[in-house]
Amino acid sequence: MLVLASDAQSSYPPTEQGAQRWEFQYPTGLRGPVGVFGLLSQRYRLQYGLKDEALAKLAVTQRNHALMNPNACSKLKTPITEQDYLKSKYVSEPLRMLDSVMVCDGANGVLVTSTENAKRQGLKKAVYPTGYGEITNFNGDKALSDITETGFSVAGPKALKQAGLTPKDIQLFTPYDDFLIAILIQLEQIGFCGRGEGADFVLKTDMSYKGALPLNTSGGQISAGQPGLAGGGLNLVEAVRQLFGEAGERQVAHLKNAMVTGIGVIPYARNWGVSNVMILEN
Amino acid sequence: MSEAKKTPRPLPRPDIYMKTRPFWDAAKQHKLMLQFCKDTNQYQWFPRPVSIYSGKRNLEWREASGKGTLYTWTNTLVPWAGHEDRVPYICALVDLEEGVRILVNLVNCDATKLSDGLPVKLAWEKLSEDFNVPVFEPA
Repeated sequence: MLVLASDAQSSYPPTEQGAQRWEFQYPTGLRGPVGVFGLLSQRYRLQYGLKDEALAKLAVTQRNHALMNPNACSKLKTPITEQDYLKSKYVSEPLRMLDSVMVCDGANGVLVTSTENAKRQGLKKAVYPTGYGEITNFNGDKALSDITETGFSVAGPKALKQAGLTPKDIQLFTPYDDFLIAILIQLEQIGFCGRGEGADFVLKTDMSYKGALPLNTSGGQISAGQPGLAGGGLNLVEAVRQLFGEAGERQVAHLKNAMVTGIGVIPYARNWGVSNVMILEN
Repeated sequence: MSEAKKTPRPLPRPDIYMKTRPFWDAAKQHKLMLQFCKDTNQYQWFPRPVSIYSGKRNLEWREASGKGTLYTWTNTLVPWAGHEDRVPYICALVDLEEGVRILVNLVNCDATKLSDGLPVKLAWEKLSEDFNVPVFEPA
């Protein structure tokens, strides 16, 4: 089965989503992910504090990776420093421009088939999903919930258990990254570190392609570009490419596994609605 | 030479995904109505065809006290289309004493002086002859 994702956002007006949004969201001016992640970042800051230097490090780490990715958006292929992050303008406080993805047009795809069929077709390389966890409509039955809490606290441990791995065993992390704060939250809730410890974890961990936990070696959506609704496939394709040993100058050495994640749906006054985690091994 | 057409601030679109007219009628009278689930004795917000607690339609509209506390906020510096004239403006999630969280604009306050749990109270903003929207301000 060929699984393709593509989106050309530049060719049509911004999508409008229905239901309550036109009635109870858009009149306030909170329109779109930027505002919602502003609210989420502020709540995270109230509960745990927000270390700008950790977010700056994430931004620079991913940008450095994008510079080595021939498929990254050319507009984003300029080096940035931590100072650039700190000076980048606020869009929806405390969210800065460099916290956010830039949308682009693009596509990606993977071929999914049985091992037998792959052999029959003469395919030489394959990766195997060995763990998966997914939660939909997280906290959907609660009127008041901690909006910093996500389904990753369930989906992460489930995927790890199925693969028989712990967070320490993960050799490449390619999380869905629409905003940098989402990476911090995923690190914490999948179990790489405790609640509120994401920033310290980032500051003490080398997350470059040569480091202890390489992060979004393609540049991620934030630094390679987010091809609209096809954006989620970008992080998957990077994990597959790395496990195939085809990542060129950003190749992670001796790679055995990778963790890919997905985020979907932004519900009213809650965290994202879908969290999923997949572990791939070669 | 004609100027580029400006996007107007969006007005609510009632009665599209469910009957919300009772809410907007009450808003004209400066009354904030919430749905109440009669099976589980709990409020919910935003309006839905069924209770998020029971999945049933045994819901009624009840007036809220208009008292709440600030849960989180964002000061919007880059506006969305139709909101250019309002910049900067604050969007906030307010926890009402009825036990629900509502997305509103926070008015009559300084974005740098807000705090977690700040007591806030209901006010109204008139968007048009037909629509008042609930906003909140420090109590």
